[in-house]
Amino acid sequence: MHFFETLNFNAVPFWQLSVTVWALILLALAFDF
Amino acid sequence: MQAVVWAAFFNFIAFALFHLSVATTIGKGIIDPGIVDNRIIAATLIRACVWDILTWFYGLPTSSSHALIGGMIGSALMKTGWSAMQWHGIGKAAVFIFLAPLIGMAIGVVISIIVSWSFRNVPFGTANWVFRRGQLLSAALYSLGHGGNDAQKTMGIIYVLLIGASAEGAAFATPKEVPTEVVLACHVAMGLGTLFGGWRIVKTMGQRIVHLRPVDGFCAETGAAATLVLTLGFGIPVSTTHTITGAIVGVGSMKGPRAVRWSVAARVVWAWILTIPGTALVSMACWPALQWLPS
Repeated sequence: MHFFETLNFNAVPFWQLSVTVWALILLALAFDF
Repeated sequence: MQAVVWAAFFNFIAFALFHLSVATTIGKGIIDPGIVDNRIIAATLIRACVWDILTWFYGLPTSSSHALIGGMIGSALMKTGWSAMQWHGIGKAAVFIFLAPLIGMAIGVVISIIVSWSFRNVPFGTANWVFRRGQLLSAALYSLGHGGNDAQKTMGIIYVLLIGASAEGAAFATPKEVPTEVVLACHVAMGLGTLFGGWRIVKTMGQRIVHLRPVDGFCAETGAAATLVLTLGFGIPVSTTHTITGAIVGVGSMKGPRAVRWSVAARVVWAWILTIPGTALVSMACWPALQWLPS
Protein backbone atom coordinates (compact mmCIF):
# COMPACT_ATOMS: atom_id res chain seq x y z
CA MET A 1 0.00 0.00 0.00
CA HIS A 2 1.18 3.49 -0.77
CA PHE A 3 2.14 5.83 2.07
CA PHE A 4 -0.84 8.14 1.47
CA GLU A 5 -3.28 5.22 1.44
CA THR A 6 -1.96 3.98 4.76
CA LEU A 7 -1.77 7.19 6.79
CA ASN A 8 -2.38 5.97 10.33
CA PHE A 9 -1.15 8.35 13.00
CA ASN A 10 -1.78 7.21 16.60
CA ALA A 11 -2.29 3.55 15.61
CA VAL A 12 0.22 2.66 18.32
CA PRO A 13 0.27 4.36 21.75
CA PHE A 14 4.01 4.91 21.75
CA TRP A 15 4.01 6.39 25.25
CA GLN A 16 2.76 3.06 26.62
CA LEU A 17 5.56 1.00 25.11
CA SER A 18 8.11 -0.52 27.45
CA VAL A 19 11.59 0.96 27.87
CA THR A 20 13.02 -2.09 26.09
CA VAL A 21 10.84 -1.58 23.02
CA TRP A 22 11.72 2.13 22.97
CA ALA A 23 15.42 1.32 23.25
CA LEU A 24 15.11 -1.09 20.31
CA ILE A 25 13.23 1.48 18.21
CA LEU A 26 16.00 4.01 18.88
CA LEU A 27 18.64 1.39 18.04
CA ALA A 28 16.85 0.66 14.75
CA LEU A 29 16.77 4.37 13.92
CA ALA A 30 20.46 4.66 14.81
CA PHE A 31 21.08 1.78 12.40
CA ASP A 32 19.07 3.63 9.73
CA PHE A 33 21.18 6.71 10.42
CA MET B 1 28.82 18.98 0.48
CA GLN B 2 25.96 20.30 -1.68
CA ALA B 3 25.69 16.86 -3.30
CA VAL B 4 25.31 15.22 0.11
CA VAL B 5 22.56 17.69 1.15
CA TRP B 6 20.81 17.07 -2.18
CA ALA B 7 20.97 13.29 -1.68
CA ALA B 8 19.77 13.55 1.93
CA PHE B 9 16.76 15.64 0.87
CA PHE B 10 15.66 13.06 -1.71
CA ASN B 11 16.30 10.23 0.76
CA PHE B 12 13.79 11.93 3.02
CA ILE B 13 11.01 12.71 0.55
CA ALA B 14 11.09 9.18 -0.92
CA PHE B 15 8.36 8.21 1.59
CA ALA B 16 5.83 10.12 -0.50
CA LEU B 17 6.48 8.14 -3.67
CA PHE B 18 6.75 4.43 -3.01
CA HIS B 19 4.54 1.66 -1.72
CA LEU B 20 5.61 0.14 1.59
CA SER B 21 6.12 -3.30 0.05
CA VAL B 22 9.75 -3.73 1.11
CA ALA B 23 8.83 -2.85 4.73
CA THR B 24 6.13 -5.53 4.60
CA THR B 25 8.56 -8.11 3.18
CA ILE B 26 11.11 -7.40 5.93
CA GLY B 27 8.41 -7.26 8.63
CA LYS B 28 6.49 -10.39 7.67
CA GLY B 29 8.34 -12.16 4.87
CA ILE B 30 11.72 -13.24 6.29
CA ILE B 31 10.79 -14.96 9.54
CA ASP B 32 7.40 -15.75 11.06
CA PRO B 33 6.31 -12.48 12.75
CA GLY B 34 4.50 -14.57 15.38
CA ILE B 35 7.78 -15.62 17.00
CA VAL B 36 9.33 -12.16 17.13
CA ASP B 37 10.12 -10.72 20.52
CA ASN B 38 12.50 -8.10 21.91
CA ARG B 39 15.42 -10.56 22.03
CA ILE B 40 15.18 -11.40 18.34
CA ILE B 41 15.11 -7.74 17.37
CA ALA B 42 17.93 -6.90 19.82
CA ALA B 43 20.17 -9.68 18.42
CA THR B 44 19.35 -8.59 14.87
CA LEU B 45 20.07 -4.92 15.43
CA ILE B 46 23.17 -5.31 17.56
CA ARG B 47 24.75 -7.59 15.02
CA ALA B 48 23.73 -5.43 12.04
CA CYS B 49 25.01 -2.25 13.74
CA VAL B 50 28.39 -3.86 14.50
CA TRP B 51 28.61 -5.12 10.92
CA ASP B 52 27.72 -1.69 9.53
CA ILE B 53 30.27 0.09 11.69
CA LEU B 54 33.01 -2.39 10.73
CA THR B 55 32.32 -2.18 7.00
CA TRP B 56 31.90 1.61 7.17
CA PHE B 57 35.24 1.84 8.97
CA TYR B 58 36.97 -0.21 6.28
CA GLY B 59 35.11 1.69 3.53
CA LEU B 60 33.53 -1.52 2.20
CA PRO B 61 30.23 -0.93 0.43
CA THR B 62 28.37 -3.92 1.90
CA SER B 63 24.67 -4.27 2.45
CA SER B 64 23.13 -3.23 5.74
CA SER B 65 19.88 -4.79 4.52
CA HIS B 66 21.43 -8.21 4.21
CA ALA B 67 23.07 -7.70 7.59
CA LEU B 68 19.56 -7.18 9.01
CA ILE B 69 18.18 -10.22 7.17
CA GLY B 70 21.11 -12.38 8.34
CA GLY B 71 20.66 -11.18 11.91
CA MET B 72 16.94 -12.00 11.87
CA ILE B 73 17.56 -15.48 10.44
CA GLY B 74 20.27 -16.25 13.02
CA SER B 75 18.19 -15.24 16.03
CA ALA B 76 15.04 -16.95 14.73
CA LEU B 77 17.05 -20.15 14.22
CA MET B 78 18.19 -19.99 17.83
CA LYS B 79 14.67 -19.41 19.13
CA THR B 80 12.54 -21.86 17.14
CA GLY B 81 14.69 -23.53 14.49
CA TRP B 82 14.01 -23.80 10.78
CA SER B 83 10.21 -23.74 11.10
CA ALA B 84 10.18 -19.95 11.49
CA MET B 85 11.88 -19.34 8.15
CA GLN B 86 9.78 -17.76 5.40
CA TRP B 87 11.65 -19.31 2.50
CA HIS B 88 9.86 -17.37 -0.21
CA GLY B 89 11.03 -14.01 1.19
CA ILE B 90 14.52 -15.27 2.09
CA GLY B 91 14.88 -16.78 -1.40
CA LYS B 92 13.92 -13.50 -3.09
CA ALA B 93 16.43 -11.55 -0.98
CA ALA B 94 19.20 -14.13 -1.53
CA VAL B 95 18.72 -14.37 -5.31
CA PHE B 96 18.80 -10.60 -5.63
CA ILE B 97 22.18 -10.41 -3.86
CA PHE B 98 23.46 -11.56 -7.25
CA LEU B 99 20.74 -10.22 -9.55
CA ALA B 100 20.56 -6.61 -8.27
CA PRO B 101 24.19 -5.72 -9.13
CA LEU B 102 23.91 -7.57 -12.45
CA ILE B 103 20.73 -5.70 -13.38
CA GLY B 104 22.34 -2.42 -12.25
CA MET B 105 25.41 -3.28 -14.32
CA ALA B 106 23.35 -4.14 -17.43
CA ILE B 107 21.20 -1.00 -17.25
CA GLY B 108 24.32 1.12 -16.55
CA VAL B 109 26.02 -0.33 -19.66
CA VAL B 110 22.94 0.25 -21.84
CA ILE B 111 22.60 3.88 -20.67
CA SER B 112 26.34 4.36 -21.17
CA ILE B 113 26.11 3.10 -24.77
CA ILE B 114 23.10 5.33 -25.52
CA VAL B 115 24.82 8.37 -23.99
CA SER B 116 28.15 7.86 -25.77
CA TRP B 117 26.35 7.35 -29.10
CA SER B 118 24.16 10.44 -28.58
CA PHE B 119 27.14 12.63 -27.63
CA ARG B 120 29.64 11.19 -30.12
CA ASN B 121 29.95 14.53 -31.99
CA VAL B 122 29.81 16.78 -28.91
CA PRO B 123 33.13 18.26 -27.65
CA PHE B 124 34.40 16.67 -24.43
CA GLY B 125 34.17 19.94 -22.45
CA THR B 126 30.55 20.52 -23.45
CA ALA B 127 29.59 16.95 -22.61
CA ASN B 128 31.27 17.29 -19.21
CA TRP B 129 29.31 20.50 -18.57
CA VAL B 130 26.02 18.82 -19.52
CA PHE B 131 26.61 15.77 -17.33
CA ARG B 132 27.79 17.78 -14.35
CA ARG B 133 24.29 19.24 -14.36
CA GLY B 134 22.70 15.96 -15.43
CA GLN B 135 24.15 14.36 -12.31
CA LEU B 136 21.86 16.51 -10.20
CA LEU B 137 18.94 14.68 -11.79
CA SER B 138 20.52 11.21 -11.67
CA ALA B 139 21.63 11.71 -8.05
CA ALA B 140 18.09 12.79 -7.13
CA LEU B 141 16.63 9.67 -8.80
CA TYR B 142 19.15 7.40 -7.12
CA SER B 143 18.59 9.01 -3.72
CA LEU B 144 14.85 8.51 -4.08
CA GLY B 145 15.40 4.80 -4.80
CA HIS B 146 17.94 4.60 -1.98
CA GLY B 147 15.58 6.28 0.50
CA GLY B 148 12.59 4.21 -0.60
CA ASN B 149 14.49 0.94 -0.31
CA ASP B 150 16.71 1.37 2.74
CA ALA B 151 14.42 3.31 5.06
CA GLN B 152 11.76 0.65 4.48
CA LYS B 153 14.06 -2.03 5.88
CA THR B 154 14.29 -0.27 9.23
CA MET B 155 10.53 0.35 9.05
CA GLY B 156 10.05 -3.39 8.61
CA ILE B 157 12.13 -4.12 11.71
CA ILE B 158 10.26 -1.56 13.86
CA TYR B 159 6.94 -2.78 12.43
CA VAL B 160 7.59 -6.40 13.39
CA LEU B 161 8.83 -5.21 16.81
CA LEU B 162 5.50 -3.42 17.34
CA ILE B 163 3.60 -6.51 16.15
CA GLY B 164 5.54 -8.51 18.74
CA ALA B 165 4.87 -5.89 21.44
CA SER B 166 1.13 -5.92 20.72
CA ALA B 167 1.07 -9.70 20.97
CA GLU B 168 2.83 -9.65 24.35
CA GLY B 169 -0.29 -8.33 26.06
CA ALA B 170 0.21 -4.61 25.42
CA ALA B 171 -2.95 -2.52 25.45
CA PHE B 172 -3.11 -1.87 21.72
CA ALA B 173 -4.22 -3.77 18.65
CA THR B 174 -1.69 -5.25 16.23
CA PRO B 175 -1.04 -2.51 13.65
CA LYS B 176 -2.25 -3.62 10.19
CA GLU B 177 0.10 -1.21 8.42
CA VAL B 178 3.38 0.44 9.31
CA PRO B 179 2.47 3.36 11.65
CA THR B 180 2.99 6.72 9.92
CA GLU B 181 5.18 8.02 12.75
CA VAL B 182 7.55 5.11 12.05
CA VAL B 183 7.61 5.84 8.30
CA LEU B 184 8.54 9.49 8.89
CA ALA B 185 11.09 8.75 11.63
CA CYS B 186 12.89 6.21 9.42
CA HIS B 187 13.15 8.65 6.51
CA VAL B 188 14.39 11.45 8.80
CA ALA B 189 17.05 9.13 10.27
CA MET B 190 18.09 7.99 6.82
CA GLY B 191 18.38 11.54 5.49
CA LEU B 192 20.45 12.60 8.50
CA GLY B 193 22.68 9.53 8.08
CA THR B 194 23.40 10.47 4.46
CA LEU B 195 24.07 14.03 5.53
CA PHE B 196 26.62 13.10 8.17
CA GLY B 197 28.20 9.81 7.08
CA GLY B 198 27.92 9.28 3.34
CA TRP B 199 31.39 10.39 2.31
CA ARG B 200 33.52 7.36 3.15
CA ILE B 201 31.48 4.91 1.05
CA VAL B 202 31.17 7.46 -1.76
CA LYS B 203 34.97 7.62 -1.84
CA THR B 204 35.35 3.82 -2.16
CA MET B 205 32.76 3.56 -4.89
CA GLY B 206 33.64 6.65 -6.89
CA GLN B 207 37.43 6.54 -6.65
CA ARG B 208 38.78 3.21 -5.51
CA ILE B 209 36.83 0.74 -7.68
CA VAL B 210 36.92 2.94 -10.78
CA HIS B 211 37.56 6.63 -11.30
CA LEU B 212 34.32 8.28 -12.38
CA ARG B 213 33.79 11.22 -14.72
CA PRO B 214 30.49 13.18 -14.60
CA VAL B 215 29.11 11.22 -17.55
CA ASP B 216 29.97 7.91 -15.82
CA GLY B 217 28.34 9.08 -12.60
CA PHE B 218 25.21 10.04 -14.53
CA CYS B 219 24.96 6.65 -16.25
CA ALA B 220 25.73 4.64 -13.09
CA GLU B 221 23.27 6.55 -10.90
CA THR B 222 20.51 6.35 -13.50
CA GLY B 223 21.12 2.62 -13.98
CA ALA B 224 21.06 1.97 -10.25
CA ALA B 225 17.98 4.18 -9.76
CA ALA B 226 16.09 2.24 -12.46
CA THR B 227 17.01 -1.07 -10.77
CA LEU B 228 15.92 0.16 -7.35
CA VAL B 229 12.57 1.46 -8.56
CA LEU B 230 11.98 -1.85 -10.39
CA THR B 231 12.72 -4.00 -7.35
CA LEU B 232 10.82 -1.66 -5.01
CA GLY B 233 7.78 -2.25 -7.21
CA PHE B 234 8.04 -5.99 -6.54
CA GLY B 235 8.73 -5.57 -2.81
CA ILE B 236 12.19 -7.14 -3.11
CA PRO B 237 14.61 -5.90 -0.44
CA VAL B 238 17.75 -5.41 -2.53
CA SER B 239 20.91 -3.73 -1.45
CA THR B 240 21.25 -0.21 -2.80
CA THR B 241 24.99 -0.59 -2.26
CA HIS B 242 25.18 -3.74 -4.40
CA THR B 243 23.10 -2.07 -7.08
CA ILE B 244 25.16 1.12 -7.41
CA THR B 245 28.41 -0.88 -7.21
CA GLY B 246 27.21 -3.12 -10.07
CA ALA B 247 26.24 -0.08 -12.13
CA ILE B 248 29.60 1.62 -11.46
CA VAL B 249 31.52 -1.50 -12.49
CA GLY B 250 29.36 -1.79 -15.65
CA VAL B 251 29.93 1.83 -16.62
CA GLY B 252 33.64 1.62 -15.70
CA SER B 253 34.14 -1.54 -17.79
CA MET B 254 32.94 0.40 -20.87
CA LYS B 255 36.28 2.21 -20.72
CA GLY B 256 38.04 -1.16 -21.00
CA PRO B 257 38.57 -3.95 -18.46
CA ARG B 258 41.67 -2.24 -17.04
CA ALA B 259 39.61 0.77 -15.92
CA VAL B 260 38.04 -1.35 -13.16
CA ARG B 261 40.12 -2.31 -10.14
CA TRP B 262 38.96 -5.90 -10.09
CA SER B 263 40.80 -6.72 -6.84
CA VAL B 264 38.78 -4.09 -4.96
CA ALA B 265 35.60 -5.23 -6.74
CA ALA B 266 36.34 -8.88 -5.79
CA ARG B 267 36.88 -7.92 -2.13
CA VAL B 268 33.52 -6.15 -2.16
CA VAL B 269 31.74 -9.17 -3.70
CA TRP B 270 33.22 -11.49 -1.04
CA ALA B 271 31.96 -9.15 1.66
CA TRP B 272 28.47 -9.32 0.07
CA ILE B 273 28.44 -13.12 -0.05
CA LEU B 274 29.60 -13.41 3.56
CA THR B 275 27.16 -10.82 4.95
CA ILE B 276 24.07 -13.04 5.50
CA PRO B 277 25.85 -16.17 6.83
CA GLY B 278 28.32 -14.04 8.83
CA THR B 279 25.68 -11.92 10.51
CA ALA B 280 23.45 -14.96 11.07
CA LEU B 281 26.28 -16.80 12.85
CA VAL B 282 27.20 -13.88 15.08
CA SER B 283 23.55 -13.22 15.81
CA MET B 284 23.29 -16.87 16.94
CA ALA B 285 26.43 -16.45 19.02
CA CYS B 286 25.14 -13.39 20.88
CA TRP B 287 21.70 -14.97 21.41
CA PRO B 288 22.51 -16.60 24.80
CA ALA B 289 23.85 -13.28 26.10
CA LEU B 290 20.51 -11.60 25.39
CA GLN B 291 18.36 -13.94 27.49
CA TRP B 292 18.30 -11.42 30.35
CA LEU B 293 16.30 -9.04 28.15
CA PRO B 294 12.55 -8.98 28.88
CA SER B 295 10.77 -10.75 25.98
